[in-house]
Amino acid sequence: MVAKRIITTLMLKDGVLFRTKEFSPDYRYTLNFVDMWSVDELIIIDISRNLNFDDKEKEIFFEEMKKISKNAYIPITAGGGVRKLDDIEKLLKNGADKIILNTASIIDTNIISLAAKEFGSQCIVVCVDTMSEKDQYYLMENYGQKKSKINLIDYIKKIQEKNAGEIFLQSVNKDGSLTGYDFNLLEKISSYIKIPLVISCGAGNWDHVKKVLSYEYVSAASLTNIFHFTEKSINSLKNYIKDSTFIRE
Amino acid sequence: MISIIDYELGNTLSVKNAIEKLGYKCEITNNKINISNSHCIILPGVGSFNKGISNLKKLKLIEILNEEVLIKKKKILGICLGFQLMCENSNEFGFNEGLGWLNFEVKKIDSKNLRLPHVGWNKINLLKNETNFLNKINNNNMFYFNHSYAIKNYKKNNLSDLMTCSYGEDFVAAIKLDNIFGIQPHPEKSQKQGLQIIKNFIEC
Repeated sequence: MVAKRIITTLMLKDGVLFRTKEFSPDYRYTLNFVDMWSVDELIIIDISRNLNFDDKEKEIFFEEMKKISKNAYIPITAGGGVRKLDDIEKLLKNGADKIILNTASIIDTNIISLAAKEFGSQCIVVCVDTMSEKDQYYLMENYGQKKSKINLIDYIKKIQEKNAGEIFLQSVNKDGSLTGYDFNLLEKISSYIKIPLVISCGAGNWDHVKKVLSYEYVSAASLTNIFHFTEKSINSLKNYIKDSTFIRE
Repeated sequence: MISIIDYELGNTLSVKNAIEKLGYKCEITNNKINISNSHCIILPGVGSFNKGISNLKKLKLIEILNEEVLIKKKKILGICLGFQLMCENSNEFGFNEGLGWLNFEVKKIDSKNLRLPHVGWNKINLLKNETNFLNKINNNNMFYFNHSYAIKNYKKNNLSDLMTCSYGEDFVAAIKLDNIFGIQPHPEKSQKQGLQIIKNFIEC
């Protein structure tokens, strides 16, 4: 059996680490909160807006990613602004092991199959941004600001047909809230998830993580902001859940 | 000097970081002279089999690697896709022939009810340990895997070192056959035990 993963997601804006709330930079964050030996994986996202991979400013992100990867002997998934296959190669050359597609896949899901044919489907993680409103769930685009015309369930089915390797699921309402993952959303989509799912946004205590990892279809839980508030936090989380959840100790 | 083969696919910087952490010198290269002068070779890999083989062809690396590995008997470590490329063939995105150094076929994992890709940390079974390649590795160690294809049929007797992993069915996690070393998980991403295997390979 493969272990459930504890992931930390790092959001970089112009090379500076931030905690986010409802997808906007909130407080400065520091890598001191991340114990690179306890955490199972890192996700690094460039949230600087409207940057192309060919822009000079993008170099700032690559430099930061290189620095982080220098001392991380764990898998790194990187994304933010990936539009074409060359961008993927650039990320892999600069310290990433897997990559995230988001906007490019909303524009045309064919980029998933093209990328999978080149880099293998295991390398292609698709980020799905969602928002809830009066019990309805929407696929969000444009940095979580705009409701997409594409139906959320249809999109989740489509990206899997196109050979995505994993789904990274985010929730605008839950981001930075510390009120728990969006369990209603998970129940709504669970029967459509056939590939590994990483759930993000909302973890506020260890029980939230314990509960979400008890779902068979949730392969990994991402946490960030909560690690601000506790000592030796990743280790203490793992100690708390290790009896109920198969994890890497 | 250790050559990390650059065939325009793969997490080459991650591999370089791991080797440098161990205190060894390495370079990411596809230059014939560099490869020829190196002490040993690493063939990394994050990619599809089809693209991997066509890039090796495009960059004229097959001849160079054949000479180093089959004639000069230089040590080589294939990681993930790099390991799979050393085999006879694979059916990832259609049937493709590999380098043919190892008499194995690469096939999709029959994971039963488990989700593919097989991604994350999993335990290994150490079955054979006759050289130093798997030194200080034991059955409780976990490695980071990320793949849907694997080597499922293998003959144990001609291998000096072998570890396997299970995900719906058993498959090869690492082997050594003379100067050819292969590993399915990513040792550069598997913390202490992963670094240990890279160190063992270099010092073998």
